[in-house]
Amino acid sequence: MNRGAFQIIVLTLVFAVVYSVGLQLTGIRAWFCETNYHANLLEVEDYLYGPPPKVVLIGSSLTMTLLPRYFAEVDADVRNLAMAGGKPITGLRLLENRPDRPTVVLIEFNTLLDEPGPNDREILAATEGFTFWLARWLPPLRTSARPTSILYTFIKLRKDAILKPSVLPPASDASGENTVSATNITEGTLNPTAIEVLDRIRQLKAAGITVGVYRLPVGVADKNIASTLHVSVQELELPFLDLKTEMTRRMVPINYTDNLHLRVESARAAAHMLAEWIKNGMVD
Amino acid sequence: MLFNSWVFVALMLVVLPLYYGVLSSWRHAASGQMQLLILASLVFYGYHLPWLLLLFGTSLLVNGRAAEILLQPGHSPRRRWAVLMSALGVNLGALAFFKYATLLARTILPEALFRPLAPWLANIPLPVGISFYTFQGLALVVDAYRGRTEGLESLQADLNSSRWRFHAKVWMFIAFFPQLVAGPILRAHDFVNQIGRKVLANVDWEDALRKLITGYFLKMVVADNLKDVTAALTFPHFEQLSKMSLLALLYGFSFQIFADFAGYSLIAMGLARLFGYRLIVNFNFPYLAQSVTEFWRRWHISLSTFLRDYLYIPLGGNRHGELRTYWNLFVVMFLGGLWHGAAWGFAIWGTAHGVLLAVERFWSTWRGRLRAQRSASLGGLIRTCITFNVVSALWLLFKLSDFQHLRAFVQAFVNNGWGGIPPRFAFLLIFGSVPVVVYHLWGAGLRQVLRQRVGPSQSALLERVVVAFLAFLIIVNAGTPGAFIYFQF
Repeated sequence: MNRGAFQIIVLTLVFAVVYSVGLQLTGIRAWFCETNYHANLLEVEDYLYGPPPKVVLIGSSLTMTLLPRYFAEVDADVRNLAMAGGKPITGLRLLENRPDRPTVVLIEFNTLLDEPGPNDREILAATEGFTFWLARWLPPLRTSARPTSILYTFIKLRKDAILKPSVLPPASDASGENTVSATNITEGTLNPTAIEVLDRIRQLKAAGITVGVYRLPVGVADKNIASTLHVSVQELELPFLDLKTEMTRRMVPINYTDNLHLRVESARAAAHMLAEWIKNGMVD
Repeated sequence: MLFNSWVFVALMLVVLPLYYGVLSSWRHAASGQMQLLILASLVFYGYHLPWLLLLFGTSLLVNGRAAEILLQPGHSPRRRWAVLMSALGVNLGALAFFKYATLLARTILPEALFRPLAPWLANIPLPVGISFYTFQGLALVVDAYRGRTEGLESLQADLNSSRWRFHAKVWMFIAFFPQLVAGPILRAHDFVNQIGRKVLANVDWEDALRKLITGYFLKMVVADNLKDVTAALTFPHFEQLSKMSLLALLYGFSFQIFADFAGYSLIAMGLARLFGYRLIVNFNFPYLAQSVTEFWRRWHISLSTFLRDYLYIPLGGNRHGELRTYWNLFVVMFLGGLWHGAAWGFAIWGTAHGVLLAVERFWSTWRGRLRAQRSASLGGLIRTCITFNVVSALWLLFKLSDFQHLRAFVQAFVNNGWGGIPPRFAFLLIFGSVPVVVYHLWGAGLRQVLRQRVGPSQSALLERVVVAFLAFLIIVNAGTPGAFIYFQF
């Protein structure tokens, strides 16, 4: 091998080592990604390679707006395993990839029984790849270390209005308003995905994990919940929090970025309400 | 098998040590190395769909046998003509069936006849690389028929000494895996005489590494990241986008298709260098072109020279007057467009380029200056920008081959406001476009300026630093994995 090629290889390694050490020392990492694929990969890597999670959120891009940082502001240890363009079934499958399961699993009600799409298949395929396995041992290979995603995070954080942690208006009655509220659920037709979701929920409950569902406010006309869920969900006796109703009741502004996903302030408020709900009845 | 896959890395880790370790010092090294590369090429090609090897093998056998007969003296002109026609028939017939059956049926047959056939036709698979290896085999056969044996001396010598070695070299020439599925389209006279014993000491590692790293960077970091934003350039997603967004996406796709295809060619060249072979340059900074004529001397050079030598010149080239020359340009580009895909959108793309070539030729002839002159002045820069915009606009026919979608795009561009670009789009587009622009500036003279400023040795070191940084970005910043765009052709 000639000198020039050797220099290139050595310089590449130098770049990699310096970058890796730099990230370790500064703690800089990506929180947002410029593509859906990498955003999803980031969620999965954080779940699988981070410290054991206590509470995990599972859902779609609606839930992705509830950043772990918002929960950390109110001292809640919540990991987000929601997928952009994904469905809860994928998150439920990915839960198995970690032997030390969470204590609490909260699932997005809005897309609970939806069938998986291309993004779900893409992310599951990625988690089975060699590069994903390698990233467990080599942190610079992880999505949180992607230079463009770090830059994107920096730009996005500066651009978005970073508000001070909001203080939630107190509930008018602290005894039971923000815990369980029953929902009207009617019988529907179950597809294989729905059957699998319900089975997985039963397995989680049998393993001693607390499972709850929450409904996020959605800008566009929401699906008629009564027509999407089977009575089996009610039979599972899942605690349920309707964040749309709760935020409306507490007069918390609900704003959207694209008529669908919550803006930063609203997402932060929703995350704090969810954390409060967990503390009031969901966490040990 | 994809170049950017772990299984390909595994293949290389097996083949390279065998190639240089065991076989290089063997008594029949040249033969052994050639057989190893042929075997590796067959594994590479048939890895995901082994049945493709049947079709590929048939093509190799037919072209090898035809070339064998045509290179042998003593056959009558009639027999030689029959052999040529048979080879053309088999090659073009396979191409027509696997690639153009649906298009031809839809165009020729009445609707009532086409409709029952449509589901069956839709199930005909498109073998990867068929356009490339078919053209390569045809080029060999036609050269043999025409008696153009310069560069084929070793093949002719093998005909007299070892038929086996003759056919092995033909297989090696067509099946050589770095260029098998997406070019460059090789000519036998450029490649066959290179076949021989290769030793590790003769490998230019730096050249190979530079080409590989630059190629993988263009593909995995630039093209694969741009792909995620140009996905919005599909119907109906683009309908609500502003003019600015549509324009930015168009440029983004222009950079993506360059990075994807040029990246592949560079990887092919780098891989070939690892095995001791040189492939032709397929892209020569095409977006520096100051005219469409010049663009086709810089873009997919192996295809444009193939079309020139095997279609344009046999049709008469520019030897039968101006009108005939324009017609020949039109026909060649029409067929060249159709080569890219079985849809009339591609034919229109090619036709548009043909018309532009004819217009430029007319303009140059009228001005008394046949060959376009490059200019480093402001005028030259303006011409470069115009050419880039024209070429980018025509790439839309690649992205939106359905005319309804194309019309919808034009309507959106005309009717929507200028507006702004969504931040995520802007971020990805800037990140993906800057390397392509810098790459072209490098070709435009940035390299020379650097050498003059810092000196040759410092400049060489700086280049290695840049290449290493690209390698680092491949490791930490690859985009969403995806197939090469030109695999669909």
